[in-house]
Amino acid sequence: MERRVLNISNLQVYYGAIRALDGISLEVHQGEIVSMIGANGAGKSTTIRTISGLVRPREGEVLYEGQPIQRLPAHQIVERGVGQSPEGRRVFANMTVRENLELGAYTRQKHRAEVKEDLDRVFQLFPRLKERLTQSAGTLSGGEQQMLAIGRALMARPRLLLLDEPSLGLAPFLVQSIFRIIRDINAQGVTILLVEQNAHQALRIADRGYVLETGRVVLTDTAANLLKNDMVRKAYLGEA
Amino acid sequence: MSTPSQALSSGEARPASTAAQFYGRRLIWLAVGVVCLLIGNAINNNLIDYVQDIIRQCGIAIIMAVSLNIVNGMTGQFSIGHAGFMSIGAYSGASLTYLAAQRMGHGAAPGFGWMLAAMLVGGIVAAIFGYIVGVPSLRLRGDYLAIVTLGFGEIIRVIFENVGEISPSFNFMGGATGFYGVPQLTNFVLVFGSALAVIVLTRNLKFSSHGLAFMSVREDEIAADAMGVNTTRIKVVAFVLSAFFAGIGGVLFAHTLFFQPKTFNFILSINYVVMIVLGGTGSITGAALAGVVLTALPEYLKTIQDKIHFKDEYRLVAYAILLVLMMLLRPSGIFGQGEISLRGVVRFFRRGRTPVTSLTEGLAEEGEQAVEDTGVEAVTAPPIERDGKERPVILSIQNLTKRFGGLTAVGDVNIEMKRGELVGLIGPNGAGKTTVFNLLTGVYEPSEGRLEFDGALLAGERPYAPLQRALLLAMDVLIAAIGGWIITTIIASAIVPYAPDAAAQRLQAFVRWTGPILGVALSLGTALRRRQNRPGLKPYQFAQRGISRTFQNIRLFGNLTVLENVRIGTYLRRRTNLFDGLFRTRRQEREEAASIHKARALLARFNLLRFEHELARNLPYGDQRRLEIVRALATEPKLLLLDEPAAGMNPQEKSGLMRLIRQIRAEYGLTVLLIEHDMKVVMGICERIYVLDYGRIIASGSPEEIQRDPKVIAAYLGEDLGDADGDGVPDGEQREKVRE
Repeated sequence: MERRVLNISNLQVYYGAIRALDGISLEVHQGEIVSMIGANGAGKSTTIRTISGLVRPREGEVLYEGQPIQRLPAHQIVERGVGQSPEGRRVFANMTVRENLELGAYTRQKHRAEVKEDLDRVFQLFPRLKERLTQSAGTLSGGEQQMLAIGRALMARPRLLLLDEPSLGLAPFLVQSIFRIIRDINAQGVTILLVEQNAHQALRIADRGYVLETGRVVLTDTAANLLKNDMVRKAYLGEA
Repeated sequence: MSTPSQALSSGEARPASTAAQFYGRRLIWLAVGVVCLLIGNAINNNLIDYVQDIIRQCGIAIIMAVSLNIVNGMTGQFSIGHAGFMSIGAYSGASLTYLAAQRMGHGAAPGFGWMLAAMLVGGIVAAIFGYIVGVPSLRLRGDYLAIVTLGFGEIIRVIFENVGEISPSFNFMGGATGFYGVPQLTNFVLVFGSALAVIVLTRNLKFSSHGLAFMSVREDEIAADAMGVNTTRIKVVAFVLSAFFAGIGGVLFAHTLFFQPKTFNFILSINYVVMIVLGGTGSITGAALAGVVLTALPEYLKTIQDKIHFKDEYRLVAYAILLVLMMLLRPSGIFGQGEISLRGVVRFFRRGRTPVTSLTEGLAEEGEQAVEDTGVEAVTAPPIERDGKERPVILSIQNLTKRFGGLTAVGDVNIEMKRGELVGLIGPNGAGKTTVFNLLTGVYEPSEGRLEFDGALLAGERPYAPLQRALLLAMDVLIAAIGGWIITTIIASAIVPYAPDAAAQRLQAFVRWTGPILGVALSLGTALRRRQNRPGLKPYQFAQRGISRTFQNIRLFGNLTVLENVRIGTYLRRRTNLFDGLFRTRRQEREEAASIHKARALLARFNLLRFEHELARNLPYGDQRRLEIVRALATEPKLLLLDEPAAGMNPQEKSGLMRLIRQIRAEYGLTVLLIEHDMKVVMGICERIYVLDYGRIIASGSPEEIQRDPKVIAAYLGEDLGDADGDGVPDGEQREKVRE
């Protein structure tokens, strides 16, 4: 029954002379939430960007639903059902909130009714966005932009959602609700690969987790076990 | 400031040379240049005239392309009217030598001295027009600026075509038919001497701190402003400098080829744009090379064409196709941003450094180490006074309000900070925290309220001194009077042909007088109102006075290296001027060495030195945030505003960063205002906290008081602070309840 949505093997990525990924392998199963944690520069964001086609690997393979996608251009990867909410939001600042969301559904323009439905779903998750519908995205506060970035990714109706630091720059009570929302999205059948510095929260909602260090996977286990792991507690959860 | 051993040992900062060494090196380079010119001249003189002519054209193209590169490449503005400056230079320079030749009478030709004078005059006149065109660029950017420069080029052409209409005394310029009788004074040595000079000066500029300021405008104007770069001034200077060189190019052109206003048309301007795009926008080497290639290539194709009996049209097509192919093969131009340099070549062959294999190798240990190495511990940091008494107030904002249209983003905010304090500013997303930062750095002018910093009023009503106000009013009135006079004189002269009798004469006189009177009346009305208060300070002036910041959405100069980013921070405290930069004086070299040293020391403190030659955009997110702090510190601020400095870092990195901020604060006597969402960080480090909600301060006090404050808990913290059980707090409804 359990199916591998994403299967990455031996991914190597370089930025110029700098090696960002040094043979990452990981898999994500249907319906899971998988968290990647690690220090700055460990390669978490690079992994996400490689999956979504923004960065080309020098070596290795990315299988999505059994098909290799590492050579596909980014827009085709989106069409196949991989959505991404990038680190630092990257909303279209001079477009309105509505336009941003509609652009998220760019690959599904033919299904007008569905897009309308999805818009409502996004508003259910983020009522704040509905209030700001005609405002240009650049005038939103940081947290609202983060909601918009996630909402925009959802508009493509992804089967696999890549979230890069969704809690970045959010007020504490919003952090809690964003993680609740991620769970809700997951409950609706979307598989999620999550990158977070807020390792505690990320592991609490995840099924499994990967710990990255200097471009390598150094540890992988169920999220519950990782939360109990001494090394993880010390290095990433900020506990003595 | 302490001296990290790392910064010294790597040998990057060259020791300042002695005077003898410095001038010796200069003389050697000068001698090399002269010898090269003479050899080139000797070769050139043995070639046929046709080839000599092309070589001269190549040299002029180098001058034009390299000078345009200052505006388009380095400063990131988009000018497509470069030929206009060239024609101004050509006409003013040629007028000088032409009139000189006239006065000398038949047979005699003006000499070398006249030519040099012509080049100077042409350059200066073009520079004046560069200033005139540069001023609108303060408000315009991108395509809009391009249209203005395009229009400028066309206006200049039309003026020279109808120059006789302005005054018959200008008839010698020949109007549309062209300027005949300009002495042919241009030679190889003049052209390539000038080209070399332009290249050397531009290169000096590019690699100086002043050039970095130009490039910071290109990379991110807002960040440049925040680093104390006067972006408006830089843009005007870029235009003036570029026009000056273009004017010289025009003078050289005028004294070697026949020209008419049409010669300097839009197509020629576009040609120069093509050169710098093809060469690599920003690269001097590329611009110079492309100048030569694009001048020589069409001529070379001509000789091929003659051999294979091709039609002329095909040659142009072939040229166009070659251009397109080159762009496809090298989309960022032949050289991109890079340059060929002696040192670069040497480094290329000597490269023995171990490549960075991974960004985080040994980060944790190194981080601890770096702090020890810098000798921070040795500096006895003054103990942080928890009670905060006896410290003078450094920042005081009173009733600060900012409205956008009908929306009040920040309302009636009062904040007071004492010197050396570390204060937190927290609040829900959208509460207006970043708006407060923008008000504190001059990005926004407050709608109401006052901002006092370090004993000076930075924002709020700042009335003029009476004398100053009177002077300004007088100037307004004078300008309005002259403007009105010009307009009504034109109208009055239009009346003449229709009514040449006495009544019309009276009407004319009347019309002529109404202009100045109306102008004065209207301007007095507005000026009396407008000239009450001084205009608000610009962001760069806030930076000068010692307020520096980081940005919530990182605004580094992405295409510059890590070291260059920090050097732009040090630019603010420079003592050198643009001429030091252009001529690379000893003063400049010394200052540069010092600024590099300081930048590297700061980088070492934040464990970023290992990335110093990496482009800023290639750094991991958390390191980019740290780099922003380093850049802000390089401006030597008194007040540091940190906008979510720890975002994107894990708990361990966060605590490391906070330790560092504390140390640096103590060491430099910094006052810090911090926006941060991580409550462990805020509660752990801040002495006092202000809480902002819906643009208003809803609470302030010690961390303990804030944590207990029910208003803050409801609006921001949520019920279960620090306990991440994940089920969250209902946000919207609960907040509304408390509000009522």
